[in-house]
Amino acid sequence: MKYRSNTIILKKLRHILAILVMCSALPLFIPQADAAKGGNGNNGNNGNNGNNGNNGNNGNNGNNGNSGNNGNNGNSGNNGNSGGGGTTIGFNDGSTTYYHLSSLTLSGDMTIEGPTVMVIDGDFTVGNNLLTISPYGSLVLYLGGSLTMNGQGGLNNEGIPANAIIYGTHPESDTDSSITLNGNSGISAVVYAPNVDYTSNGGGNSGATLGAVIAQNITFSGNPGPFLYDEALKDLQSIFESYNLNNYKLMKNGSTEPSEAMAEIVNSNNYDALFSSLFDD
Amino acid sequence: MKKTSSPFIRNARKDSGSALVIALTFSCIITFGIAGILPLVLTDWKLSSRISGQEAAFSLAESGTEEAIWAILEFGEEESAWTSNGWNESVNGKYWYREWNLSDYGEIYELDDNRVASFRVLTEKVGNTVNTVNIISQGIVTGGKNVAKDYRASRYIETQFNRLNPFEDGAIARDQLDFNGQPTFDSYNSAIEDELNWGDFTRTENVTIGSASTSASDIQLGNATIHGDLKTGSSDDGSESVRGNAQVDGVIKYDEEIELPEVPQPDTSGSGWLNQL
Repeated sequence: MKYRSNTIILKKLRHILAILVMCSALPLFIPQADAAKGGNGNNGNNGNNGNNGNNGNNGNNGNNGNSGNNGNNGNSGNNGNSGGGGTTIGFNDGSTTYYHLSSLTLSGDMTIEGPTVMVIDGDFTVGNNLLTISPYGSLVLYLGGSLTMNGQGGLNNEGIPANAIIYGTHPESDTDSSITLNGNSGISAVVYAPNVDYTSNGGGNSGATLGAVIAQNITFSGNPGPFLYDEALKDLQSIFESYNLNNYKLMKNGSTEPSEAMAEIVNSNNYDALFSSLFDD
Repeated sequence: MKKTSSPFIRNARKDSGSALVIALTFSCIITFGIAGILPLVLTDWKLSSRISGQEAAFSLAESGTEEAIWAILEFGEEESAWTSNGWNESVNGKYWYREWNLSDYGEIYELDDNRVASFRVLTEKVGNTVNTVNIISQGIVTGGKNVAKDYRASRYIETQFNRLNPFEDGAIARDQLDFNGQPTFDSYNSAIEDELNWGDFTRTENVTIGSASTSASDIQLGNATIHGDLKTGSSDDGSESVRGNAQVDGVIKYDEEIELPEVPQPDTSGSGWLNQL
C-alpha cells in the first residue's frame, strides 16, 4: 500500500515534471512558428535547427528533425558528417538554406533539394558517394580548406555546373589546401579557387569534369575523363561588385545615333528625340 | 601789297603738312588693319566661346557618367533606392534616368554670366544584361558671354562597364598548367541541351584553357587535346613552344592579362546560419 501510494506520487510528480518540461520547451518552438515563412518544411532529415527562430527562411526545420540538435548561430559546428543512409538538405520552395560548418565529410549520399549556401572553414571530403543537386536545388560553397573526392564519388550529376559553385576563400599564403579528384569521381561544378591547386587524378571516362576551373595550379594526371567547359557560364552572374570600363565612346558633336546595344535598351534610334521626350525640352 | 612770309614760317607750314599726310596715311593703314583683323578677332572670340561651351558640355557629360556609376555601385538592384534618390524608371523598365541642373549647385560650380549648365543620364538597370551595364550621358551648356542668345552646346558620351566574370574560359591557372597524360578539353552548352546526360553532350569545341603566368614554361600540356584556344600571359617568341606536343585546335593568345581576385568568406555572424547538417 505504501509502495502503491509512493508510486502514485511518483507518477504525479512525473506528470508535473512533464508539464514543466513542456512549458519550458514552449519558448523554443514559438520563434520557429514566427519564422516559418519560408517553406513547408517537409524535407526534414535534419532537425538541428531548433534555435534558429530568427531565420525567416530556415526556421521551419525544427519540427522535422531526426536528430534534434540545436545549432548556435554564428559559430560553425564541429563537423558536418552526413548520415550513412543519405541526407537531404534544402527546400524546393525557393527559400535559401545557409550552413556554416567547420568541415564536412560525406559518408553517405547527399541530395540538395533547394538553394543552399554553405561555408566550410575546413575540409570537405566526398567518399564513395554522390552529392546530387536536384532540379530545384543549387549549391554555393565557400571553402576554406581542401576538397577531396574519392572512388566513384560525384558532385552534381545533373550536368548544370552553374548549380554547384565552389569559391575557394583561401588566402594567397595558404599552401596546405587543395582540390583533388581521385579515382573515377566526376564533378559538374564551377570552381574558383585562385590560391589553391586543382588536381584531377581520374582514371576513367566517368571521371569527367564539367564546368570551369580557376585555380593556382591545375594538374591532370593519367587519362582522366574529358574536361567539358559549359559555355552557358559566360552568362553567369558575377560575384565581383566592381565594374571595369569596357567601352568608352564620346559621340561626335551633333551625333545622336545610339549604339546597337543602347538602341535596344532605350528603344530609340535618336538620342535627341529620346532625351527631349524624357526631360520635357 | 602782297604779304610775304618769312622763310621760317614757310618751312614750318611745309613740315606740318608733311606730318599731317603721314599721320593720315598711318591712320588709314591702322583703320584698314583694324577693319581687316577685327572680324577675324571676333570670329576667333566667338569660336573660343563655343569651344569653351563644347568642352564644358563634354565635362558635364563625364560628370553624368560618374554619377551613374556611383548610383550603380550604391543602389545596385534595389529599385526603391533609385527612386528615392531622384531617379526615374523608364516606361519599358530597362533603365533609369535623371537630370542635374548646375544652377542648383551654385555654390559649388562657378559658371560664366548667363551660362546655364546641366547633365542628363540614362543608365541601364543592373541585371538587365548579365555583368554589363550601359550608360548614356548628355552634357548641355546654354547661353554665356559672346555667344548668340539661343546658343546651346550638347555632347553625348556612351559608356559600357563590365563586371569580371572569371568563368568566361574553361580552365585557367594562376601559375601552372601541368598535364601528364592525354586529357581532352572541349565544351558544351547546358542551356541548349535537350537532355542533360552526364558527360554525354553535344561538343561545341569552344573551350579556352590557359595560365596567367608570364613564363611559357609554366604551361606543360603533355599530349593533351584542346578543342579550342590556349591563353598565356607569356609573350610570343615565334616558336610556339608553349604548345608542346599538345593538339590545340584554336589559336594561341599571348600577353593575356588575367585578373583573379580573391573571394572573401561571407559574413556568417548573423542569425540564420546553421552549423550542422
